[in-house]
Amino acid sequence: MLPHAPWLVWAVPIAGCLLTPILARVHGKLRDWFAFLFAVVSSTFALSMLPDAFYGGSADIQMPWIPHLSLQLGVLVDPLSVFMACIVSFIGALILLYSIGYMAGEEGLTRYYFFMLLFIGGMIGLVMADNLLQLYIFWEVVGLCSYALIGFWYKRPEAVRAGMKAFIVTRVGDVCLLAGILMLYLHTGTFAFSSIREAAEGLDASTLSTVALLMFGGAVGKSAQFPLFVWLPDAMEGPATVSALIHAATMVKAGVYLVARMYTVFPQAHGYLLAVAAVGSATALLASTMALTALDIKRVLAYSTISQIGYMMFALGLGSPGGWFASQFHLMSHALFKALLFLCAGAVIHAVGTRDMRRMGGLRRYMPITYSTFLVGVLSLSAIPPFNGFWSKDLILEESYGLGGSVGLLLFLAGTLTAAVTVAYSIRMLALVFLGEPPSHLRGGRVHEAPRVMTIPMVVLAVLCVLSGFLQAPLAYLMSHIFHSASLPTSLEADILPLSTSLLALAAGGLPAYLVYVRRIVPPERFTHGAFLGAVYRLLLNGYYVDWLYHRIFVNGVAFISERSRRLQTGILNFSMLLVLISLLSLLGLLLMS
Amino acid sequence: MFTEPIDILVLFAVSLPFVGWVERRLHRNFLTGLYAVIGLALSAFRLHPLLSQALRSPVLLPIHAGAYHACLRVDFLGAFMAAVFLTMSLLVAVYSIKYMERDTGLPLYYALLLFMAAGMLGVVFAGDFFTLFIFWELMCISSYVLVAFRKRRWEPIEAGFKYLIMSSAGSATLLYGLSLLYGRTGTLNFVQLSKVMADAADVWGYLTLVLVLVGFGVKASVFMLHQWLPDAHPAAPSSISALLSGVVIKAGVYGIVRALFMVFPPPHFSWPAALAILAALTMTYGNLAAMLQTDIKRLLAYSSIAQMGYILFAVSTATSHGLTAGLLHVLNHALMKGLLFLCAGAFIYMAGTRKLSELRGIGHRMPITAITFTVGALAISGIPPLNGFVSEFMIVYAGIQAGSLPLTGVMLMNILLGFAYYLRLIKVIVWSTPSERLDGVREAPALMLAPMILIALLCVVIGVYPAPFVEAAERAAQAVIHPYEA
Repeated sequence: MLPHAPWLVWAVPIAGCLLTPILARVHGKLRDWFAFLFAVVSSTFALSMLPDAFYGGSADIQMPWIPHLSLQLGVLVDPLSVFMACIVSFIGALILLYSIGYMAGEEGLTRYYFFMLLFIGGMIGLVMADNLLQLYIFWEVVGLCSYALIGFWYKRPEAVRAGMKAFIVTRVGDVCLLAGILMLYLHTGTFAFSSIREAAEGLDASTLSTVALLMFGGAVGKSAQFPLFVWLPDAMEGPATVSALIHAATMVKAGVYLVARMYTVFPQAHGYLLAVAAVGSATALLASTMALTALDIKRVLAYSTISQIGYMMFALGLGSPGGWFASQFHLMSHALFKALLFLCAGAVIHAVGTRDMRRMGGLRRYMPITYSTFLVGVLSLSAIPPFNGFWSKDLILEESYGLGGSVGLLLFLAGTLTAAVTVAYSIRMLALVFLGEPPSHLRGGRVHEAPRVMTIPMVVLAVLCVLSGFLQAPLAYLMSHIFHSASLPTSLEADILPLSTSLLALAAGGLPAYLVYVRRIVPPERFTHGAFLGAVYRLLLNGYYVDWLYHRIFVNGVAFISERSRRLQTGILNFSMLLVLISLLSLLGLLLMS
Repeated sequence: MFTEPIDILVLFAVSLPFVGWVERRLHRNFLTGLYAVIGLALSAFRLHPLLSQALRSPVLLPIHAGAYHACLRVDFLGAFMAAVFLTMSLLVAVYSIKYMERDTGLPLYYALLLFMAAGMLGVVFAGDFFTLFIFWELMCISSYVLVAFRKRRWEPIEAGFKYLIMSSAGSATLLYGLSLLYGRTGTLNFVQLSKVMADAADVWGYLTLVLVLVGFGVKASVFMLHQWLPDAHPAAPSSISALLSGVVIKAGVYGIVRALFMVFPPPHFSWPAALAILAALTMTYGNLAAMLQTDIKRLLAYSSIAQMGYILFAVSTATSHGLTAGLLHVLNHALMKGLLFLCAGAFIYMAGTRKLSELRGIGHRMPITAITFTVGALAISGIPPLNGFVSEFMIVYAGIQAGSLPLTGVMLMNILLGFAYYLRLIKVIVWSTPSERLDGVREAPALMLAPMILIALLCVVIGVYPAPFVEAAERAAQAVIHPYEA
């Protein structure tokens, strides 16, 4: 471990973000490359912690912060935190490199790099925090960065609105999380992860499950799970780099991280694991169906992210060390392939100038590198062996199958069904963007491959997507330090039934999509018309009308009440004085009654 | 006469007309402002020894030739509040030098400002209700005139008049309560009252409590007693709005805390539940009413009502934790709301309008003001690592600890509501394309920016390293919960 690495790994990017305005004064290029450099330094620190963690070293380093509340500022070095820090800093560095090409010539780049670096620092701070309060603070900091970056192109009103929506919806979860953290503190007297487990053992069942569910509420908001998923598709208004880093690879995993971190604290909480598994599997399935109809390439990826995080949640909800490990393994796979897919999508959008897949097609010819890396991403996402998604997702399915009972079977079926739908929308996306004949406005050399500064990160990620699936055994060894007794699955057991079912699912989802979108045996438009199919299509296209319903109930509802409440303010002095009298009498009544 | 910080303020206030005369002679229209700033700074400088003395034990200062055994008793609660009041007054005075430049009658303005500060200091230093009431009226009368300071326009006159009538009604109610108290116990001294009132919890005792609570409640803009505020705070010059919303309503909170904890102590008088309901109503109403406002200052004014609700909710837990949280929020809200009003003032000063629709995108013309404004808005929405988060989470914790889970839920809902309209405000100011109307607008002058930047920095510092401020708030809370322990 490099000296002070657990502190510097997040302090360096934060210091970097404070330096960006100064560097920008010198030269724009300097600022861009320094941002990349800060992220590289940070990931060096993160990687340097890996050997220690690998051989079971863990540390909890503290310094006083608010002595009065016996609060410490602390960093926790353990397999989980180091693993997450490595992912965040490494992908962060790659995406900042890509940004140099992708964001070139944009207005307000100082703001962009400021918030990107603050985000990287905040996200690493979140996973390194050794107590819940510090985690919560960084939790909000990354939310703030997400808000600011979604609205980066503030001249587009929808971008600003999407940023606000993301911030407000996630904050609904955050408020639950805060309440949960404070309730836990009230009953255990500690925020620290190291002591919270023993302290929580004495809690009565109802308090424990209230706390557990409240904290899960925070995870649901941040990780865009049902019913708070509505913000993530809109968040695609931000630059593709932001989507790749924040809304695919890292921040949306914070909820998964929180649930994983609290795994040992809440095992007995009544109904908690079931809630996690149910929310996860329902989200996985629902979101994947929505991805089938989305027309915007980034929205497809957003729904896909929601769905994949659902997988991780439901693996955590299995409540077994194996399921826990599977979720973390899938987290790594997903971080790599989804970041890759977003970066490829960014390159496509950069070249074509639209996010609408109906205006794309045949790009394979013009953008060969983007095409081949995107193909790797799609294969990983669809869980085709030997790409990484296959290993991690089948481990999840295998673990859920191994759980047994009706719950396990139900979860296994939901997971398998999701896998089938995933293949279908992946092929649809690939076919619409890269295959077929290019539309006329893209012909004639108007579309070019992305510059090298963008393709290099894509190629690196693509290579990792192929390799990381084989890292299960070392990862299992790393994580096994968290579970002192249980051994973690070091490879797929290749149990014949779950494996063959999931391969069957790939075929069941892939074949129709191949026939419709690649071979075009039936024109895809056929599925958008008709009484039944049309209704289903509109239902999916509108995201099951959840968004619409929320708008109706919450936005319009609050506006309505707010409008009504203003009538109290008549501005007539007689009325005001009457209210003084009423309040005097009612207060007296209230006090005498109690 | 009283104690040095107050004496200095009074002395500077009465000598201001002379400085105004010199100012007119020399054609230097910053002299009165500078003089007021010096007065406030001197007063703050002399507050410091008092602060450290009060930290050890309450300082008793008899008033010579005072009636009814009037005295000053500076405990750490009073000193804490005084520090908040003076800091904000000083920053606002600095801001006013530029902001009020175009107005006439500046000697009057600064004299009133100093008198208002002196009144607030007297209120928190008073050792008995008689002294408190005298200073209370000094503060109130100065503030009425300041609200109506720009007397050429109708709006300030109407707002000032409403404020005058309602606040006087509040004062009269308070006076009535005090007379009942005096008639019953024969004393108005806080320390003596705290000893005799413990076994007076009958109908008359509760009637007295309600009268005192309503009396202070008008100033603290409790729900149903708030109707003057949405008119008065926006109508005043923005510098004064910052003071009214930032600190003057806190004098009402101070009165409530002082009375409820020392005169009507919680185990004997069961006011916490009623106050908690009142607090929940206040915050919900304030936030709902603020939601759709189209005038930036009116929105901020309604938000102040909501924030008073948070503070009262903290007070209503009647625990040491709760009161600490509430007092920390008094400090934080003074800074945040003061900052927001000062920024709003800067926008209005440069663009000449209070309408949000016309201020759209002004942040791009005034980037530094926009950044400080964003800091204030995020802080007041409770985003860490800014100061509002610290006190809001402490209030929520106190609520959970006191076992009032439903009302804590209401508080959390309200944090979300407040968050929503502050995001809307940021969207309008910062994340919009500026209209052509704002073409000529440039950054605010340095003298206005300096106090804003300072407060914004304080918001960050308190958020990142809250320890000393939490400790001060806790000492202040202890001073009133255990008034006899040094």
